Amino acid sequence: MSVIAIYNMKGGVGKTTTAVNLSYLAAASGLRTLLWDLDPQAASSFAFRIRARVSGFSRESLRSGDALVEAIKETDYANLDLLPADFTYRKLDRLLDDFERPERIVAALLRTLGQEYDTVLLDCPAGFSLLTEGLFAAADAVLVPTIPTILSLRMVARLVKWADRSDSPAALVAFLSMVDRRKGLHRRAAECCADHREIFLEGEVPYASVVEEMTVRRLPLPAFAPRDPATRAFGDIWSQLQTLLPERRAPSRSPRRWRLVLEAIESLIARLEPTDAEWHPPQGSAPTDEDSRDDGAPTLGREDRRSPAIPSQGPS
Amino acid sequence: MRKGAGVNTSRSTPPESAYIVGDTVSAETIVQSLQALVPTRRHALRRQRLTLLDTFDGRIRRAGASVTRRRVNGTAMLAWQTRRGAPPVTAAVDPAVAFVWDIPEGVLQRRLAPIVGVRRLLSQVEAEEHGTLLDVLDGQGKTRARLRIESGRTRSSGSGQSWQPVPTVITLTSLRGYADTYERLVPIIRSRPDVEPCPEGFHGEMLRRAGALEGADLSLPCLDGRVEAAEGVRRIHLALLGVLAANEPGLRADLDTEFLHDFRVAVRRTRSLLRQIRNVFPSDVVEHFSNEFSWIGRLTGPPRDLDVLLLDLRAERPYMPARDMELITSAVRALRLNEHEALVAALDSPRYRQLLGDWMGFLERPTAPDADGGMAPRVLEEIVSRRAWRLSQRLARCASDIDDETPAERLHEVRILAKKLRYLVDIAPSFYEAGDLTRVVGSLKKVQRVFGDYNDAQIQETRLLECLRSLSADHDGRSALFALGGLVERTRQRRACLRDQVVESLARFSAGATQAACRRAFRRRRSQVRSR
Repeated sequence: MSVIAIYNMKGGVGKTTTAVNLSYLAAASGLRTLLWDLDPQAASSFAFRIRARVSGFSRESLRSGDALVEAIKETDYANLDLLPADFTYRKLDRLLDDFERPERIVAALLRTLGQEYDTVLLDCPAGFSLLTEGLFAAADAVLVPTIPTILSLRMVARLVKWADRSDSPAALVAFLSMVDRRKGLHRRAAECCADHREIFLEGEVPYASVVEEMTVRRLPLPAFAPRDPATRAFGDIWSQLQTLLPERRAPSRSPRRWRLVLEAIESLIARLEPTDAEWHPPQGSAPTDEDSRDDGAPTLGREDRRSPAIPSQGPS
Repeated sequence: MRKGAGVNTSRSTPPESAYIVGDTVSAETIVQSLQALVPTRRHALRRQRLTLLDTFDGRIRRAGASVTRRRVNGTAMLAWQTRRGAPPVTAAVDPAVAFVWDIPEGVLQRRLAPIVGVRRLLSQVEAEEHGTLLDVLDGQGKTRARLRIESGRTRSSGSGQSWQPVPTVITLTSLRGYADTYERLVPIIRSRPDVEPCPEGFHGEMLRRAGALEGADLSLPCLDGRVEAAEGVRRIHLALLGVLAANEPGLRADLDTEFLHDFRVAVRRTRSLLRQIRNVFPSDVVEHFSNEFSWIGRLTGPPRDLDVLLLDLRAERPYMPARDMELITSAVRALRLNEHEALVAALDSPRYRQLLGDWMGFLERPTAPDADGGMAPRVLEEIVSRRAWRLSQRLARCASDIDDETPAERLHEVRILAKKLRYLVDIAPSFYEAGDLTRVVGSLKKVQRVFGDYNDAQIQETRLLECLRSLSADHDGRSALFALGGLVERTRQRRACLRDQVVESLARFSAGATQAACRRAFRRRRSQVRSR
C-alpha cells in the first residue's frame, strides 16, 4: 500500500482537482484506491456526489479507525472508494494534540484504512498543522500542486526545508498547476521547472475552463474530457508518480539530497526574480502585495545578494 | 430478512446476490419493470464471446471471482472479476496464456498470483453473454447499487458439446457504504414471480449448465470421533485413492506441478497411514500395499524435486543473464523430462494398474485382521491419539540430540517423523480442540518447512552439479557454467542458513506451549475416549 498526500500550504492551488483526478486514474489502472477527503470544505466528496459525513467521528475513532472505516463509500468508479470529509475535521488538530505522539496515530490510522487498498490518496486541507506533520511522517509521497509564482515556489522551498529538518521519510514532489501560458511569469516558471525534474514532475496542468467544469458536472476529468490537455497532464503526473514511488521509497533521502533539492528551487526562484538590469522601479512607488507579504519562506542564503533586485517600492 | 444466495456481508465487501428468472419473463421486461420502480441509469452490455478459466481445483471460483479470456479487436484480453458487478481488471495477454507468470506484470498478475499460485489456468467453458447494467441512483445522481440483467449460452471447452442456453440472471450488487439501498431492493426482486436464488452467480450458472461446476470432492472425510477404527481408516484410504485418480490425468499430461505434488502426497499419506494404523487390516495386506505404494512413491520423488528446482530457478531469473538461465533451465528440464517419463511408464505398467485395482477391491470389501495380530474393535480417535502422542514425544526428544553437527541422514529421519505426525493429525482434525490443533500444526509446519527446504537445497545442489557436467561438454555454455557455479554456491549458502534454523524450529516444537497443546490434544483425549 502506498500513501500519497496531495498538499500545499496555500489554498486554491488545485489540490482537490488533483486528488479527484489522480484517484480516478489510479483506480482505472486497476489499483484498489481510497481517497480520503481530509478537507472540511468537502470538495472531493462533492465531486464524487458523496455526502460529507462521518458518523461517530471522535478522538477515539482516530485511535481505532472504526468510525472512519465504517464511513468509507464506494464511488461510481470501479476500484475507487472515498472516505468523505466531515465538518468536524476542523477539530482534527485539537483531537490529535491530545495524543502524545500524534504522528504515530496518523500513521497507524493510515495503516488501518489502507489495509484493503493498493493506494491511498489524501486530499489535505491548506495550512500547516499537526495533521500535516503526521502525514509527512506516514506518507510515501507528498505531492505539491504549485502555481507558477514566486510565492508558491517559496512555499515548496519551505516544505523541503521542513521535510529536511523533520527527517520526513516521504518523497516530496511538485508539479505546476493552473498554468496560464499567456502570462510571462508562468511561461518562465514552466521553463525553469523543466530544468529541475528532481523536484518538479513533467505534467503541467493548464488553467482551463474544463477543469472548473468538473465541479459543475461532478465528474473527474477523464470521465468527461478524456482527450483534454488537462486530463493528459494528470495522466502524465500519475504515471511519473508510479515510476518514482518505488525508487523514492528506497533509502536515498539523505540530507544531501534535500540540500540539492533546496538548491534547485533556490536557483529556480533566482531565475524567476527580476535582475537589477531588468527591473528599474520608479522612485517612491509602493510595494506590491505579493512582494511585501511575510510568508515565512526559508532563508535560502542568497537573499542579501538579491535584495537590491526586489523593489522596495512598487510601480507608480 | 432473507437475502439471495452468494451474499457476503463483511464490512468491506459489499453484499451481492443473484437470481435466476424463469423463461416466462423476457430480460427486457425485467429491465423495464426495474426502471419503473427505482431511478436508474441504463447501460447496454454488448454480446461477447468468452472463455471461463480456472485452475483444476477451482481456486478462482472459490475465491468468489471469475477469470475470462475474450478477444477484443483481435487482442486476447484476460479479465479478473469478483462477484461484485464492478468492471473487471484486465490485461492484454498471449492467447495461450497458461500460468500467472505468462500475464504481463501489473495489477492483474498481482491479483491472481496469490490465488492461482503455480497452477495452470484451464479453459472451463466457452460462453456468450449480453444484457443490461442498471445503476440505481439517489437524488444526487450517485450510484448506490448495480443491477446486471444478463443472459447467454455456454458449452464445455473443447468437448464439441452443443450450446446450452443460460437463462436471465439478475445480479444485485451493493456499493460499499450503501447497504440500505441493497436491502430495500432485495425484497423487491425476490417478490417478482418466477425468480429463484442463483447461488453461484451468472458465471457459476454458465459452468453449471455446461456441466463444469461439479468437480470431484478431493477433501478427506470429516470423521466422527467415535467411528470404528477399521471403518474410519477405510474411508480415509478411499478418499486418498480418489485424490490419486483425480490427479493422474493432469500428472500424465504434465499440466502443472501441482498434479504431481498432490498425487505424491496422496501416495505418501496412504503408505504412512497403512504403516501407522496397521492392526486394523491383515498384516500381509498392510505389508503388500505398503511396499507397492512405497515403490510408486519413490518414483514421484525425482520429478517433484526437479519441479521444485525449476520453480526456484524462476525466482532467480531477474538476477541472472537470460541466456545463461535459459541454458541452465533447459538442462534441468531435460533431467525432469526423463524422470517424468519414467514415472508415466510406471503408471502405465500392469503393476500399477493391478495395485490400484487390488487396493480398490480390498477397500470395498476389507477383510478382518488376523486373530493373533489384530486388535479388538476400537474407535479411531483412541488409536490416532495414542499414536500421535508417541510421535509428538519422539519428535520433542529429537530437539535435545540435534545440533549443528548432526549428520544429514539423522535430519532426514527427523523430517520423516514430523511428516508422519502431520499426516496423522491431518486425517482427523475434527477430533481435537481447534486452538490446540492450530498450535501443534503451526509448530509442525515450521519444522516441516525448515527441514523440507534444507532437504530441497541438498538435492538441488546435487542436481545442479549434474547439470554442470552436462553443460561443461558444450563450450558455448561457458558463461552459463559460471552462472551455474554461482547458483550452486548460493544453494550451499541457503543450506547453511537453514541449518541454523533446524535447531530453532525443533526447539519451538518441544517448547512448553506446544507440548501442553500436544498433551491436551492427544494424551487427555485418549484417556477421555477410553473412559467413555
